[in-house]
Amino acid sequence: MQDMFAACSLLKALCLMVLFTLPAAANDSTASLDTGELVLIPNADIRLEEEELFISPDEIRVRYVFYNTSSETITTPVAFPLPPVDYSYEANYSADPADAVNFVDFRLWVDGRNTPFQIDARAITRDGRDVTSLLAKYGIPITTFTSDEAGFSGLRNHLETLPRAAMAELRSVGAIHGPDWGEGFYEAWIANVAFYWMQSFPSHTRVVIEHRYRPVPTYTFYGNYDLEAQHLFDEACIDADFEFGARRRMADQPYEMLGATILKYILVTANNWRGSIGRFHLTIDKGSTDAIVSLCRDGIRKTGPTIFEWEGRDFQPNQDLTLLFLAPLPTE
Amino acid sequence: MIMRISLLLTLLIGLAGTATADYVSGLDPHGDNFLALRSGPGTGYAVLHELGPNTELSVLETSGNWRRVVLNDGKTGWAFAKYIAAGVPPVDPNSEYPIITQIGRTGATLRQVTLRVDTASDSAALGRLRSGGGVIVLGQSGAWLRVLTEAGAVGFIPTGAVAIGVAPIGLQATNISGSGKKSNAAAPASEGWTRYVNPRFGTAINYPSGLFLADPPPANGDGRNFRSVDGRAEFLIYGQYNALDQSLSSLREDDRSSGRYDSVTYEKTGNDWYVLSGYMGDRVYYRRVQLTGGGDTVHVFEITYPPSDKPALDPITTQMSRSFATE
Repeated sequence: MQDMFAACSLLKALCLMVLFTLPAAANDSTASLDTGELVLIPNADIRLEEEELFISPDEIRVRYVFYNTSSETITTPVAFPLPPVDYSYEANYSADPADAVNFVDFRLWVDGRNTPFQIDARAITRDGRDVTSLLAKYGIPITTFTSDEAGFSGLRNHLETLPRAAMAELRSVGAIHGPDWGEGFYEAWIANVAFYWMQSFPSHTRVVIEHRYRPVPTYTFYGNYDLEAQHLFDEACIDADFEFGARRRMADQPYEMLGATILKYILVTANNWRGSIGRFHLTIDKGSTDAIVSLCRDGIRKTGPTIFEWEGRDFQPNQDLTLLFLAPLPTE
Repeated sequence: MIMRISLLLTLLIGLAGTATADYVSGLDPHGDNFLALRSGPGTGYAVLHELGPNTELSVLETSGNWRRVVLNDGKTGWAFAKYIAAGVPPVDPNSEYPIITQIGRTGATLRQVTLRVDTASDSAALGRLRSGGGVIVLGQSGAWLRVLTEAGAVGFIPTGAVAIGVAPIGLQATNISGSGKKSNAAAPASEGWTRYVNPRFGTAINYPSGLFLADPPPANGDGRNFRSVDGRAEFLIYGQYNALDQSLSSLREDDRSSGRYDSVTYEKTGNDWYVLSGYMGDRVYYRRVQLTGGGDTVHVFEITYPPSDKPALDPITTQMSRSFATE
């Protein structure tokens, strides 16, 4: 356990997990929020001509080029819903945002211009009760992600100094659980956060939509044991070269342990609203020349010291992307 | 047009009646605690599977106290009605498993429905959504979905009021002749089903044009391939000369021995037609073959889709098959 904390203190995400997670995590991984594509209501007149997807452990950027093939302007909502933040399952997400609602720092540009959007954020209990306004009434943010330890302690203290009746009310509706009195509570609500806006697609015109955000991937340790157990070999198509590279890097590390970032990007669900993508361009930045990356996609070209690219025409995704980044643990 | 709308309504009512969510409920936890899924509507029929509490399923058909149901994995069978409840199973607040999410998926409303502020049927109404209107699921709360509507409003509607994965009505592109009226999200439900007629052989079928779009035509003009908006379902319709002068049973045996229709779970034959249905790999198929002109011409309708789409597409397939004809 001492070893674990020594290693943990080197990796911010895992450090946050151990320090900030009240429910005992049964493993030493943070939980991921697997994000995917923008969502449009299916409309056969709107074509996705191009998509450029940029993925790195710290940032996802997507540039879409849509074309309205019809003779009329189409105005339709576009959404980017985040997966549910399920505190009642695992609270150890690695997110340390400035904003507890837009906790992935979602930003949007339409035709090159920074564009405002709406945020829908609801707190919902497992048995289907909307407790958003109740949380607001007691000054509890919709997510308890916070960028620093002071903010984290402030929130815990705030909750624990709420009147007994307030705690009882939160408990009775299933928003929190924990002891009736005294220290400690667990968030029991599920946070549903979505970004959306109404988008006009003028007739026979291209509209470029770009967005970016910070992903919430899984952070964990990856060592010789994981290689022996072939951990993630199938999901990320780990081959002999990657395994060799991983072993070489592990040999130089304390505890022969690397930091792993497992990032899943959902491509298939979007088939629900779009046909094939005219041109799909994938760029992966592994972030550091010390890092290595593996994923299931043939024909990826290395185009820079840390950059890999892949391009497909009339691309209809048939599987999601699972990327495994391995890098030395930070030595700060 | 009136006929189209009435067909559409039939479809929507049909979907509402057969494809909404149900689940196994009311079992005695101290008894054997399972509901038998049987091969027919009676206790004399073989037990195919044992369904545990809260198993999700959809009722397809009613016969007395028995219900023909489809499970989420596509298995079908008969179960005793007493232990089937409508809606989605209650969520166990103590469950250690994450909820299964529909967030980020799109769908169409199955009926007119009120958009509400909160997850209660007596909460304030934000507006009324049209039948067949498009929604994007933003959140999920027990028996309620938080949706973004085609008009840009956000609120709650009952889970059972939406068919996930089904394209909205009135948003489809040009019809297959290339001269259809285009409409946008604000347009009312004006198009439900379209009739495709193959000009060479007269093979014809009605299909929901909001759900399926035609692939480019083949050079020989024999027929067309159609694909659902979400890419999951596909159907083809074509005619051809019975060049080898094969009999109906010989055509059927060719199908059965082709290896393509590796599992046949349903088979029916008439004077001049037959139907095969079952699984090809992990997809459901339904194939109807019709002979006309004293056996001179063969007409084929074949649809395939993933088993998870059975609740939505089985009734549509039935409608399509009934309309399959020659002109």
